[in-house]
Amino acid sequence: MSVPVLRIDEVLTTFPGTDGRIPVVDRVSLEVAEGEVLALVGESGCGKSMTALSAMRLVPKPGRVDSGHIELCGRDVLGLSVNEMRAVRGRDAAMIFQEPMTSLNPVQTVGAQVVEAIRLHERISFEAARSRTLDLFEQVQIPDSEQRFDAYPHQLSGGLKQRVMIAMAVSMRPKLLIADEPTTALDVTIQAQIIELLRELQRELGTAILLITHDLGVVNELADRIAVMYAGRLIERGDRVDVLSNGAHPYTRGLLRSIPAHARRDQALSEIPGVVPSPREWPAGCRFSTRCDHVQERCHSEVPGVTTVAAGHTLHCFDVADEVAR
Amino acid sequence: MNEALLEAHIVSNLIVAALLVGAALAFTAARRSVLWSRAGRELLRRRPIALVTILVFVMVALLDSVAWVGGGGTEDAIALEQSRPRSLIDRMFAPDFKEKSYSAPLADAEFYGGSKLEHPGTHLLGTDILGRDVLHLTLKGARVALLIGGLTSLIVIPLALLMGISAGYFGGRIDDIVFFVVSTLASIPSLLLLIALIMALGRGPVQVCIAMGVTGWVGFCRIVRGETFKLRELDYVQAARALGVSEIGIILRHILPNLMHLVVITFVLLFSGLVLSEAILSYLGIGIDGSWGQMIDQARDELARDPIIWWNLFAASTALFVLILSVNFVGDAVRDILDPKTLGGE
Repeated sequence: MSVPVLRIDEVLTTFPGTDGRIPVVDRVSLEVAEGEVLALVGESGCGKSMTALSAMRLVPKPGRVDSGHIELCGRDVLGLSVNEMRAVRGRDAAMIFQEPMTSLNPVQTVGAQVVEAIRLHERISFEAARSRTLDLFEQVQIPDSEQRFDAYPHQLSGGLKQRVMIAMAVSMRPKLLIADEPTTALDVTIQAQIIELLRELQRELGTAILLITHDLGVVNELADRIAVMYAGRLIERGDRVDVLSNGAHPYTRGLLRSIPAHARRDQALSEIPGVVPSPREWPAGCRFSTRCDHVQERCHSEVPGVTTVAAGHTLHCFDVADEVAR
Repeated sequence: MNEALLEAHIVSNLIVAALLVGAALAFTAARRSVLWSRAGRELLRRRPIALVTILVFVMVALLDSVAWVGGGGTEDAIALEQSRPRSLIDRMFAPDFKEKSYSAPLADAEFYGGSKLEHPGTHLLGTDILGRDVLHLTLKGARVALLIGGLTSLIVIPLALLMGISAGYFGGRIDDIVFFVVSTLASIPSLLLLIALIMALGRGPVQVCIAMGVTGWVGFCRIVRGETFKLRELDYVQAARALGVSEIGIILRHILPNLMHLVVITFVLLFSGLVLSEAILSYLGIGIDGSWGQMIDQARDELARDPIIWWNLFAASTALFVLILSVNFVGDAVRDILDPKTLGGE
């Protein structure tokens, strides 16, 4: 394996609270290899987006990355100056957001916005950028690209807007594309199209994708590897097949059980009881201990270490560790 | 004194030239943009009368701003009049188009005493206490009104945008400082502050505009700050940041354009408010010379006379009313049209 496109090492991102800073991303480490799709999975409020924003150094104030190491395309992100970081964003790594409805400036034509994105990183004429934009529109399968160029966001459907966002994000052929819930706000048929498009682009451009989602269906379609996050920590990671079929952490199993499946249509859909606690209520020890049905005494006080289930498939759980030991 | 007067009318001519060039440039630029040219056509369709009315006022004001010395005088023109710069509006009236005192509209004789007028039956709106033609004075008032509204807005809007956007966008210390200034200004009765500033700065038209500008930016600054606060968190601003757009770029391309509808609405409200508050200042005796407010102020005791002298008040207040009404109509329409959500998704 060559140099990873993104390497996050023990990153701690915190927000100020009433007594001291509260971590929202708690010493998370992960790697995205060149051309790979890594899915970051978890419920809402688990710190998935914050992890991605930390990687881009876009954590909204007053939050900040307190410690750890982040490497994007071999460059130390936390050590870059503001201007250097700005050059990295969009060129080496780009982002797609959840809400295509509000991710485009309503008072500018979509074409002008893509042109702006291109001309930010390359000194080319408006005309050259325009023809590049039209090519990009073609590539992300926007029909009637000439007319769409002069359209305002409110004149486009959600799916088309998301395509424009994707066109903007891949305009510089970034090494890494961070897709933060790219299909959540779209309806099902459009979701499938967008997933298909992302897969094609990933193959054509060789872009690595950090896919943030809570939709395991999307994960199954796109991901090479999966990292499961819960309450600010990574709790399980491994290849797609390993995690989806042999996910061992109680949380992962809970997630998998809550997917509606044809085979279990007679049974009630299971759910994980309770909700993700807010960062200031995170328990000591294993974060999942408050909702886990395999909880042990020590889960409440000790943080479980790494257990290797299979090659490249690791997790943090005392219960599974005991089982493996047996 | 004479030299300063010369300076003033040359400066005024240059400003007119600059305004015309600016308007021409803005017009060609707007024609190239789909959004603005469509907005322009839509405005003309919705509010043709108000638009034409405003245009007439602007024309009158511009004509009154182009002035030069001498020339065009009649044989028996008064020498003093000839040596002063006279505007195009002044030149539409003969230099000696004056009476000795009040005369009713289109009257043949003076209002008091009944002696024969110099120009019987030609004063469309009568003459004032000094025998000046009221129509002439009213037309000249347009320039003062537009000067008050325009120049003060030119001070208020950039100031409020600068302060409001920096406070809302950067937050923290900058926000604290701006808000301290805003709160301080807002806690002083604005009319008293206005009067104090005019006393300190002097009583010229520019000074009055500056004074009104300094007291008037606070409200708009608050609105801008709040709106920027909201815009800053929006997805497209985050997206722009993720693409590597600089802070200045985000402010210029994403924040400012999305504040333009507020600027338009504020400009309209401010404009009418300013012209009206100048009338109040005139009532207090510290207004701008030649304004409609001053004419109304003078009409105060004319109304108490018997028979009543109404044409002075009528001319000034009608002009004021028509201008403000047109501006409000157009502003309302512009706001509706510029809102991207009501642009219509054809």
